[in-house]
Amino acid sequence: MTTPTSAAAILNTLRDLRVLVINPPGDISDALVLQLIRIGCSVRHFWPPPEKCEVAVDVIFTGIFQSRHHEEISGLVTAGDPRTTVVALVEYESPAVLSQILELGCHGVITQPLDSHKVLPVLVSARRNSEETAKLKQKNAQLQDRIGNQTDINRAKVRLMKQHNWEEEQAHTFLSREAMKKRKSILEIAREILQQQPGR
Amino acid sequence: MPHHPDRPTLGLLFSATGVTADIERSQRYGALLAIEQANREGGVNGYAIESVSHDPGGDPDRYRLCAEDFIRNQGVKLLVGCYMSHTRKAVMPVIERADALLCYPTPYEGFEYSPNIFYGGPAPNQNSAPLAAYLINHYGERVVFIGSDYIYPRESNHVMRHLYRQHGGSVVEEIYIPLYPSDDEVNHAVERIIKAQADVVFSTVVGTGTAELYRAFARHYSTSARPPIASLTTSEAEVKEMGNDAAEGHVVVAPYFSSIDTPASRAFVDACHDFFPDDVTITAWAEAAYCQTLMLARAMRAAGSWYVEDVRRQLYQLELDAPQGPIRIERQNNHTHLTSRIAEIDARGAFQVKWQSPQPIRPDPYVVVHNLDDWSASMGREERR
Repeated sequence: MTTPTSAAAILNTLRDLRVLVINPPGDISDALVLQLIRIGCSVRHFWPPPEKCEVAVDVIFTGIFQSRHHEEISGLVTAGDPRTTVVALVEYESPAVLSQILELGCHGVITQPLDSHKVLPVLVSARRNSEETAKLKQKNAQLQDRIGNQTDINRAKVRLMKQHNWEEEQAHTFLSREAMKKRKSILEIAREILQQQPGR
Repeated sequence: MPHHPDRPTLGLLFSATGVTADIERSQRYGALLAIEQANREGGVNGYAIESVSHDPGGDPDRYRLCAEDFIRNQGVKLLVGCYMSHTRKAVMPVIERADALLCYPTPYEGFEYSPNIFYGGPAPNQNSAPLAAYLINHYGERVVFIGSDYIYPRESNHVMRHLYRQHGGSVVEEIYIPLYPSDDEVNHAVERIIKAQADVVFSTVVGTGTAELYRAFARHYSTSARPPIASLTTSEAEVKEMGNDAAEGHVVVAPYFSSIDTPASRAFVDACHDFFPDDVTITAWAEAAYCQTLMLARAMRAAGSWYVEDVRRQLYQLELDAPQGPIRIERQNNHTHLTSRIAEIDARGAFQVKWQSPQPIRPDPYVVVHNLDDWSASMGREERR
């Protein structure tokens, strides 16, 4: 079981966050950057969107644009660390904008007009969403691996059982003993068996 | 829309009735004293500064209506007032929509910024953090929380709980009583405190419940030594109401106490004695209201105008030699650089300052995790009682 991301883990790290703001200069960007500074984050403001991010980033606040900038931002997000939290700053709620929000995989949305009271709650919940998603993805990959490994072990056991007319337990004992003797994992031994004797 | 007033006018939003009337009256007279002094200094463009007042009676809806009346009907956009957090929250949207300005001379829980509000009381990094360091250094590790049941106590306790845990202390009981508690509710709370065998009690009870709590506490501990009650809000006004016996030995953190013996403080106390009605007490929050109103007046004078945008620009330039020491507004978050002081109440009901910050503390209203070590170093570790 994955433990859910604790409130403390999110709240206690707010001041360590490296935040990128991608939005044209102006009142909205100023208000957002200043509020993030008040919250205590390190903030960098970019416009136009940078081609790539040279420094590590934990959170991206980005405007949603009906222009080539959308592709640039999308590229930036895709190329970046998958654990980066993305928050959209939206002016319109039209279908194209909504699709772009989903395409970017945003973990939170702030609607304009922006006032400073909106920033911290969204930052906190978006951080939690992205941390949680990243954790679950990692866990999922581990489980996929484990299922694949188990299949190989089971196939090796079946082969041994047929070959020696063994019960499942005998096959299991054989694999464990071999693994211990050769100082390898059961999985490695199972894969050796499968390679030595290509299946029928 | 109403006209811009042809005289410099401030709207005062302090309750003269209701649960926080004592403290808000002291704030209101602090503001009025500042206006009187500013007018003696020559007012603004030769005009005397005027004030309009309402009594919102401690009720958030009435605060909102009063603010609307000042702004919409009278064109007055420079306001001073509010004590409890939910009254400030009620006024905030009205102030922001009209691009008016509210000076809020009260300690609060932090985590707020409005371009239209200037915060004149301490944020948690200016009161809770030093107080926690002091309590842990001077008393034991077992603390009981008691508070009035609204946002400020709950948020203050959140901060305090974190600070205590960080230093191996434990919160053995957390009690909330209504803003208007009955005798039974106060007595029951005190019984729970005694049962918890705390080394120190952290109280965020505000208003008239404060004196009742301290008195009940004194009654229940009549024969044995009682642990100190530490507070962010208990002031000279509440001490006067509860009596010196009930107040003795308790601890308060605030930027100012009327017992401070500096020329600026003595001048303020003398002026208050001349100006305040007999039943109004000098408190830290009266000082805060006085300072903010005086800053508004000086900003109007420097701008030669009482338009919000002119006044706001000037406010950031000011440094005031306040009764507590020098103060100024932090441009980044509209809160105020303030000195922090911790005092113990003596047998005569006077606040004896035990510690003060070496210089004014920069306001930082968005601290989720406070660091006690910042303060412990400047306090030394005395023997625990």
